Amino acid sequence: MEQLTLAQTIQEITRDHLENHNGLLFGQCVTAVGWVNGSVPDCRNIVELPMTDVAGAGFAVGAALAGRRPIFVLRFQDFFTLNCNQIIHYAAISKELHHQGVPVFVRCIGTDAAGPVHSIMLHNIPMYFPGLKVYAPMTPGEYRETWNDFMNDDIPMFVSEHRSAYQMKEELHDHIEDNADIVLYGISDARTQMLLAAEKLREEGLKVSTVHIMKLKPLDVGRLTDAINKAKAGIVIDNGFPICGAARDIAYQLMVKAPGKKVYALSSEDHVKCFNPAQQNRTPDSVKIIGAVRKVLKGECPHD
Amino acid sequence: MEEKRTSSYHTEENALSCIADDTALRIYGKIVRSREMEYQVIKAVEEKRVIAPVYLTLGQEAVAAALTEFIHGEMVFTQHRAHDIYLSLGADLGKFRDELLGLESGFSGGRAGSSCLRYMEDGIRLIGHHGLIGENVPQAVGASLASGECVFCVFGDGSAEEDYVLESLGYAVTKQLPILFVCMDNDLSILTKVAERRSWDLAQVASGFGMESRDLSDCPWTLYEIFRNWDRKAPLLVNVRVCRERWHSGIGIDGEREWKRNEIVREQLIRKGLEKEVMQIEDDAREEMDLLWNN
Ligand SMILES: Cc1ncc(C[n+]2csc(CCOP(=O)(O)OP(=O)(O)O)c2C)c(N)n1
Ligand SMILES: [Mg+2]
Repeated sequence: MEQLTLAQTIQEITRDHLENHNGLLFGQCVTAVGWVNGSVPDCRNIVELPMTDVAGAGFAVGAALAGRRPIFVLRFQDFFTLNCNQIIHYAAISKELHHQGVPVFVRCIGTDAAGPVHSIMLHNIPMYFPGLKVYAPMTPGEYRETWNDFMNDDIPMFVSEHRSAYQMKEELHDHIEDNADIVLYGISDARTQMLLAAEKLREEGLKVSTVHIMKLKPLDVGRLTDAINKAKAGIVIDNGFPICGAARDIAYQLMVKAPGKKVYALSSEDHVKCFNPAQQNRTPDSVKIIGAVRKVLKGECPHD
Repeated sequence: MEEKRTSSYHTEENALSCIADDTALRIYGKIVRSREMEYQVIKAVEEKRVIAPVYLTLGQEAVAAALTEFIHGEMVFTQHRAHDIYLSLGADLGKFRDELLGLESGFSGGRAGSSCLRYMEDGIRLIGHHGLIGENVPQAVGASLASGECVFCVFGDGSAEEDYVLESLGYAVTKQLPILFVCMDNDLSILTKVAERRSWDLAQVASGFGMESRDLSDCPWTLYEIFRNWDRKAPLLVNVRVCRERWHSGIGIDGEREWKRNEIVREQLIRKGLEKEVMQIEDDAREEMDLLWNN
């Protein structure tokens, strides 16, 4: 059987949910413009929403309250700034408040180099609020795991997707070395750049561990600390903005669990993501990551 | 221009005569029990037994009393001020009391309180809001769309101004969803009157969206007829002029109510020859709520 891409996997999971499990999918313009990069099937139980980016999330929450376990698609992550109210203030807190969950599967799609608003990544925002699971799957296997975790629980899930991953077929595995010079932790599309950087650094003779962080919240710190305990230092690499970002938060959590080890954060910069190539402020690329590693190995902070 | 804040605005003078006595008395019973329960809440706040904020429905309860005559297990989405709906639906009052007292035995373990109602037992599906006014309106729309069922949604004149509420009304029309929207128009968003906040009229806006709508004062008998005649095939919005008796949050009083619906209703029933029953209802309600809160 031919291996499926990530987009095909999402499509397959979605079709099964909508056709066989009475699921629902809400989104704007989902049945047009490439069916969300080929990730949405042409089948029943799809609701084309009007351009209502605040009420829309409320419709999905209402559907979850009615027991339909809706998939709510946001074609760009910045739309979440409008749609987030119902997710974080209603769906997320219901479980703790009433002991009754409101399971909504929020597919929030990020990208790079799409200008000042559409390029932003903001999985750090749902991480901040109690009551949500936040995952950033990049591979077919990771997406299946994400979906299973959603279906086996009744709390809402924020899924930070990245357009660059939709054609991926291969799984990504951690590579942990004993006495590593550095361990790189990657989030979302920073993981691809992390792997490129690690390859180059290994060619130079450095011992580099690479660890993939798919589950941002709850964070499996136990799994992640093994690598830092075996390395001199670590860097968490993310595609969001730096301040109050996912990378800084996770770096802190790792340092607490691995006393004596320094773990740094590397993200996009605290600048607008412009259209012109020089100021696109993309996900840290392999060159930037390598530069950061060199600084860390010299005992310097990578983003000074 | 027609004065809209009057006790008789768009009400039917003879509406009570079309309603069977036992129904009318049942509605009055809910009004009185709601009020007696609120008095006990006030006492508990005064005595500092209840310390979390309370959002009293005192003065507005006639609407819930009539509305709940037509709710039989359907999902009901309410906002912060909905004690009267909780009671009128027949939800467990011990759990309500305990919720306000912050006890584990409350309907949400004492965690949610007065403004975040949730009661999903005894064939009742009451889903309150969590803090953002009007958030229950898109939820009602989503729930009806997802279930194909008739849904009830109650919100305030302030909430009506939230952009997502207006859009939700529009989408309910687009999808022809069987939702009864009731706006409890007490002419107040906290302390700001409608005229200071907007120039438009909610019932007219709903009509503009293509939704059937009504705008009237809180006569439970007229409301009863309107709710009874709703065919549950398309959305209906009813803007009801009500008088809030106490503060937005808490138990204080700012001044006289424009009208006292409970007294008007009482008079009407007595005029109909139901004085004995009225007195009995009042005695029973007082006793019931005293027992519930002070034992
Ligand atoms: C989104 C949002 N904006 C503002 C508030 C603050 N607020 C709480 S209650 C309230 C008044 C709401 O008025 P209305 O809907 O008419 O209900 P009422 O209190 O009169 O019953 C306001 C403005 C809030 N809770 N949520
Ligand atoms: Mg009001």
